[in-house]
Amino acid sequence: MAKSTASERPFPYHTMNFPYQRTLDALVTRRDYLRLLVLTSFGLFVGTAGVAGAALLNGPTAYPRTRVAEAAALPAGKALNFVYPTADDPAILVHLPDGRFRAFSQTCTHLACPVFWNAARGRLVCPCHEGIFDAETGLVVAGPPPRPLPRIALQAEQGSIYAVGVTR
Amino acid sequence: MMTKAPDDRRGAAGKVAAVHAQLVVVLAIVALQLWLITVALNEFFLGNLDSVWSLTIASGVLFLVALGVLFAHGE
Repeated sequence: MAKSTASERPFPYHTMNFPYQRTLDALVTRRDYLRLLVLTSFGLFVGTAGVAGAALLNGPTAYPRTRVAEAAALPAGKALNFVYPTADDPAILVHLPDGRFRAFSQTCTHLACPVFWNAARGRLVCPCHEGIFDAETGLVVAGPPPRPLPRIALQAEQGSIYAVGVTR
Repeated sequence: MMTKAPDDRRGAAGKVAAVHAQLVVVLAIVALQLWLITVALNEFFLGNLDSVWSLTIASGVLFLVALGVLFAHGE
């Protein structure tokens, strides 16, 4: 059977293998694209709200109130190791040079080495891989740790420092 | 001599221009929201949980603006 010529065929030859209709292009109008963008905008808002929801769930977890130390027994610029919330969770209480107290989990978020207070640098330092944390916020200042140190919520009462919860 | 009423000046080209303007504004809003969700995730993983809420509110306001732009021309 002789092959038909282009002028005889009612549609381009390639459409036998690729049945793509050029007119389908026109189905996505500018207004459709606009609606899609607004839908995307809604999706991004929902995503951001999801992050906020996760932040809400990640708030301080309350644990039994535990007395950590006498405030007067820990001079400014010094630190004290303790365990909280369980005996298997080492923690560190730091009396910052400006007088405020901060407490963090002592477990480095990189490979779980214990961090210690470096008074000369005013930072919490992990000696294993030189991870450095801000002693006020627990945020990573330098090194490989991927996350800040879990912070232990403190309460001061009648000269004593109490641990009351953990923010991971 | 007759003059055209203001509405008559909005022919097909005018309508296309209006939709283009809407697209540009909404595209800019979506780009801003992408940036906001990136910052929100960054703050979340850094542990700065307080600032995430303000970023969510900003994203919501931007979405409402985008919705307003969508319905601005008789959608």
